[in-house]
Amino acid sequence: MSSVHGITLRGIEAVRVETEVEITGGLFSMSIVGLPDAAVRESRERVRAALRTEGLQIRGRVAINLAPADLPKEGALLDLPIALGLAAALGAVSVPEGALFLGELSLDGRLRRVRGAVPAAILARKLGVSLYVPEENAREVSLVSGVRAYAVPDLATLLAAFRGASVLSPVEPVAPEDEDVRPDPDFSDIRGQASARRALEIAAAGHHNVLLVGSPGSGKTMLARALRGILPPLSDAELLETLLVQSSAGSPYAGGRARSFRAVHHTASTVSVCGGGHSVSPGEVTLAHRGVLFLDEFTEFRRDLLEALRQPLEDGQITVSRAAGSVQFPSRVLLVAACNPCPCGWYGDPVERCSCSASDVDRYRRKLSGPIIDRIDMYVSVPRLLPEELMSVGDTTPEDSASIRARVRKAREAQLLRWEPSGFHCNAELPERLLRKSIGLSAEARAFLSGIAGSLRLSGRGISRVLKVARSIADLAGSPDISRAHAAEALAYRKGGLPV
Amino acid sequence: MTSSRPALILLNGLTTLDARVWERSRERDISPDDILRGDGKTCTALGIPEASARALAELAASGFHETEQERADRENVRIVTYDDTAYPDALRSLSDAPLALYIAGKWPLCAPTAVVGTRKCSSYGRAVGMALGRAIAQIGGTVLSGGALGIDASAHEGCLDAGGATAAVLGTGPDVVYPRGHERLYRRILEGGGVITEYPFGTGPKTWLFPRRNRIIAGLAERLAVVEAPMKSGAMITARLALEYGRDVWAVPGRIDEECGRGTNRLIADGAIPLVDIGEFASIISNGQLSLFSEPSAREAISNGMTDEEEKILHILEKNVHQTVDNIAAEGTMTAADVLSGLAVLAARSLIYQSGPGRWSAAPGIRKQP
Repeated sequence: MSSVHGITLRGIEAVRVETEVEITGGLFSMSIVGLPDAAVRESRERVRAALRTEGLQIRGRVAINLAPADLPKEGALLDLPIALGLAAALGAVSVPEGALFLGELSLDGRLRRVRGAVPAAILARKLGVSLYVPEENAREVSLVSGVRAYAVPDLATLLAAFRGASVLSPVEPVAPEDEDVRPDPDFSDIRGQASARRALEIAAAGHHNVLLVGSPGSGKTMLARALRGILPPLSDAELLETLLVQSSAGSPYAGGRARSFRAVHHTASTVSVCGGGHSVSPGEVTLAHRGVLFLDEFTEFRRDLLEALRQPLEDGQITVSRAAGSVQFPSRVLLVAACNPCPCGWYGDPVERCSCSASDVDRYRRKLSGPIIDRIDMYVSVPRLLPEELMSVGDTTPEDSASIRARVRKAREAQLLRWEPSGFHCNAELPERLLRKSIGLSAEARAFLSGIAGSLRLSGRGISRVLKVARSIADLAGSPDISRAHAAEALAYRKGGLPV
Repeated sequence: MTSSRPALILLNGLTTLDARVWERSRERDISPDDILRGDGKTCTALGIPEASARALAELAASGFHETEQERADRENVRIVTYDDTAYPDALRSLSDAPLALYIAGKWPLCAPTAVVGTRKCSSYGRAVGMALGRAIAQIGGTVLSGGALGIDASAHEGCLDAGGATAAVLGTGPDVVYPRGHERLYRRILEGGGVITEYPFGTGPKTWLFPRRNRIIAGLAERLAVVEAPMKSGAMITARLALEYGRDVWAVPGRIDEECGRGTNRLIADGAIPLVDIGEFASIISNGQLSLFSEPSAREAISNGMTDEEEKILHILEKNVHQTVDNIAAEGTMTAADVLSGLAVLAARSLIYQSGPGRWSAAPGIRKQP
């Protein structure tokens, strides 16, 4: 009997799985026990074929046990440890003690990319053991520092290395490239929309959730996509967090430090957005971790879905509980929601005619309250530019994303410097007590706001939001104090500023 | 002889009868007691159809007039009947005057000016409604309207924002808020003004009740201003009735290619006074005594405490409507940030409004600089 270690995923966490193989005499049969899913059970065909290319014929009764027995095992990533266990049981090779193996086998013995390499690397680092991954996973694993990992092209190379016939070169740890984020679309591609550009810059600076309101064709989606490109690049820690999520979900590392952008359709199920399912996989809110989560046609979303999104948006993580146990996923996202001003979309358009009745519009507007809307700091109305307006703004090239990002970065650094002692990172996170005390509101701005709060009928919460946004505007300007102009501009992004 | 009050409340409870039935009862010498007994013969004599007569008998048997009075006392609502001295003379002269009025809040209101229009108004119509409401409040007048969505609500709000008193004539019972979402508006109206209806407690929104109540608006108002009304609309019914009752009717001219401009334009063609300048309207209805708007200092008062940028933006918007931040920034050579902070302040002072998503216009009623 021999035993080799592999992993299985529990959420975004790797759990060590011990693969025990026993071969006894008798007619050929092969059974896998230990709660394997279909992909694991089918591995016997792949493993048998791959071993045959190495001249290893399996005969007799084969029993494969995946321990711990009560943990469900999933995915093809257990192919490699099973194959090695068999090879060891046949006496063909001796496998190093404790090492973690993962990889999906092809029938000719090549190793295919698997999901979960980054969680496996983190587990290997924790356990202090070496890790063998398919070559295609080497890049993401190389970004995890302090792990002894080897990239394996195929089963033959690995077996040769264990026999001492060749030497596997370890994966060199690489610091993630500082290569600049390539925004798509770039802000220089967007014509006009000065107010939305400005609002998104502020949102990026202070990590404020945004609602874009505008008629069809006004460019809400393009603006939302462009937002990703002006967010500061991922830090090392953030990059690792996003890698962990992406690796668990099986999406390859694209390189660079760009943040993710996930658009959710309003027909999406709660499970696909929040995570869950049979094997408890991460949802959109987790895949957008440290990036942008875009909810287009916000008013069309089911209320229960929005209700379910509230907690992950607030806490930055989501706990998915299933019969098999509960799993935690990170979910720190910048939320961008977009909607039309009315059901038909043409309310207040200078050319098109709105066909909604008064009560339709009223009912539609009433949807803009409730579960997540109170997590939104900025309300931005986006005009649909007329052809002649587009022509007149078309002469000059607008500022590109890189220069906006440089300002955003500076503003973020200023926030970190100010709030880190109190345990916060950006203005959007600020609690009430800090807002009232140490936000740096100038006397002039204070007088201005208290003068105007009454006539605007601002609620306590509304004032807090204005203060947070004003703080971000001041940070962008590099100003230690919030001036009257900063406070006034913040008022332009409150909910009451939407057209009625 | 017993008081006529219970009988009037009872008859009014049917929500289909008016003062004509009461006059008939006098002519035919039918006493209130007969009505309270509600037998078929009395009803026939009064010309009440059979189905209504049965409903009346049921109401009478259930003691409707008593429970209604009790409820009114409890909820601080006054019931003023046709025979009461407190009944408004302006309504008594109508042939189809309501038999009873449920009044909450302050009453009577001085010199009410009705402002009505379509529920489905444009943002421009809303801005005009608000400006009219404000202007009427500033000359110390009262705004009367129907408490509905759209123009009605904007006129009430404009008046309240300027610290004036306003009254809503409802098409539902005094305890029913319609449309949903106007709870806050009704509360604000009741703070300094009143809510009036002829419909008893618990009457929900029914399509046929709203046109009926328009005669109360037209009757109570000294004059009527119509902002945005399609040809077939409640506002047009109100305007026709007001003309019939001999009230001054003003209409805000609209575009000739738009549904909601047709009604008002038709009114003007038929002899209504075109409302082309809010300041002028305000000074005429205040008999020229209080002409806040025509003072040349009015515009200066507006400019008071304004930054240069705000001044510049207001100028640009006074010239053109529907301007985006891009347009304003280009024309005024300002940054988007400056434009946005200027817009926020001007909007907070109700000098401009958002006429569409991301588009701004100057509020009607600000006098242009010479």
